[in-house]
Amino acid sequence: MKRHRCIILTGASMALFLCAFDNVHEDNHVIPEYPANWPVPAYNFDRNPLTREGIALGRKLFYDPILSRDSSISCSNCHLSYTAFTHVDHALSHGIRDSIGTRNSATLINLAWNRYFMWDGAVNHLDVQALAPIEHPAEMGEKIGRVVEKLQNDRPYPQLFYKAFRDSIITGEHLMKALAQFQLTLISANSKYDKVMNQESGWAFTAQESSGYALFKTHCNSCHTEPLFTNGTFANNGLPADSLLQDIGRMKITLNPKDLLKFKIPTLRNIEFSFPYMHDGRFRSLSEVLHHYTDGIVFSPTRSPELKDGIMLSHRDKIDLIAFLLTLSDRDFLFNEDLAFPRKK
Amino acid sequence: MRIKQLSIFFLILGQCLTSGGQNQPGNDVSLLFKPLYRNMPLLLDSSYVHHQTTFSIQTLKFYIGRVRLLKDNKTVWEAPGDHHLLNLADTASLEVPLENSAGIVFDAIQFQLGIDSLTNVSGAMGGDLDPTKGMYWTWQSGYINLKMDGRCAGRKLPDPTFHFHLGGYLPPYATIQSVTLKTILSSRVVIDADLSFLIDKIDLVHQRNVMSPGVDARELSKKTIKIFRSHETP
Repeated sequence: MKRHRCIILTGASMALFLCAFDNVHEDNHVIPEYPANWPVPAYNFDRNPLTREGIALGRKLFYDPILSRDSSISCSNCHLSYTAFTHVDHALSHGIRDSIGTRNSATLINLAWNRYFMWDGAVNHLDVQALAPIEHPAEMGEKIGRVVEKLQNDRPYPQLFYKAFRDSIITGEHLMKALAQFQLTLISANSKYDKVMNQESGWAFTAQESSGYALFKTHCNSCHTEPLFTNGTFANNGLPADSLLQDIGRMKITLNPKDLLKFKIPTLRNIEFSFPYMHDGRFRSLSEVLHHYTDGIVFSPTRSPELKDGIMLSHRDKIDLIAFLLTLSDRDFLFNEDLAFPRKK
Repeated sequence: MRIKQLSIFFLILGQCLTSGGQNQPGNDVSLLFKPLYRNMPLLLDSSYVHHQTTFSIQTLKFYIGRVRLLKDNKTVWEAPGDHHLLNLADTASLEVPLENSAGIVFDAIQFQLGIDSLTNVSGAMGGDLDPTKGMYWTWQSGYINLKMDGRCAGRKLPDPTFHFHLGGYLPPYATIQSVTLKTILSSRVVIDADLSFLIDKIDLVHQRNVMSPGVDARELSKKTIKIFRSHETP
């Protein structure tokens, strides 16, 4: 039995009727669909209500390299839809002129539930996240003021901004909010795991996946908590510090020694598609990840207490656990053409 | 009797005409900030002497908000949560109108220098808070409360420029400051912003740039309170 909350197009029939009137968009809000048993999103939709026009504009911007200084890099360069909106095969992402960054690209999944963004939580609100890659010299290398100027002079953007925000004069605020609106629709909640949890007819774990799920609940759930597969906090999972990158993680933001080497716990949804792993992409496979948890944890004063004694997993356990993690892949999300590059139909 | 009435009339008229210090009914109050350096107008790109060297300012911008008018230490008017970006390069921005404040009787003003923590965590904003204003850190969420960029002749490493971008809202490095000033009753309150009370407390030759939240930003922010004074005090 599906326990989904229905898509609510508030005043849907009214909206359809009013479609013919371009200047009438009241009550045209879109509320993304997500399971009824999920927590309430952290994002304040009242400050940036989703509309079809806002989402479409945000999507167009997300895939437009005009955001970068030399028009070579769009958001999708590091956040490709087919690979869980991340940049696979690269430990550290690269931006304009093949500049290499200092961190692995994060997946963009279920962002409405995030309270922090970036591996060190440098960004405290989804609306302002895009400022970071836009102005980073190794990513898009541009200035937000210049992006706004370029868009103002690039048809049909002024018209699209008018449709979304009732203002054809483009501002940084509206640019940011449009990008946020699209990203808020990146919801992944229809993996095999979800179908099993929702007791959908015809879906069940294999014996291996069941065994893996039990191991997951014992060893992983305290940090990678269901159903979002992250508890949204920061932790030091015992990774040895990288002597070259010297990335101190959360402490860079809070300046608190208690946050040394802590990084945001990422979601495990679609983990099959989002290699390599960790904040610096040091592990190329899930096997390497599990090997770290059983044999590679190093001591540090800020290491998670849950990892004090390491994790005991046999070779067979690891296979079962990986089998379970593969059930978190949501192909409806990954291959949803409404989220991919907007091609003219 | 007629003379008495006329006298009273002229007395009242005279009072009205000479009351440069009165808040006339019908006129909203405005705050006019006058950036100075040691009592002289502070001009961009002009050279000033400082501790055996010279310096000039290329950028001076700061936010004020939560303006309140006080009478006998009680709030008699407050702004509806507006934030104003004052920019030395934009003279018009130095006058802050207080809407719907006409006729309010006050003896002091209070304002915040900087952006409050709630606004800092509320995402993208418009108007003076738009991220295109150059007062929002892109690499770490948060507003720059006061931005001062300049050059100092004696400063060598890494180059002669200095940059003080004071911001941060997370404790214990919060940098927002509150300023309260006694003032005369007037529809145009002039506030001197004498930057010497900040700049002269900094060793411009050796002080490293401050462009992120932390101890330096917090300590420099505390000094910024002293730059403001009423041009006319009662």
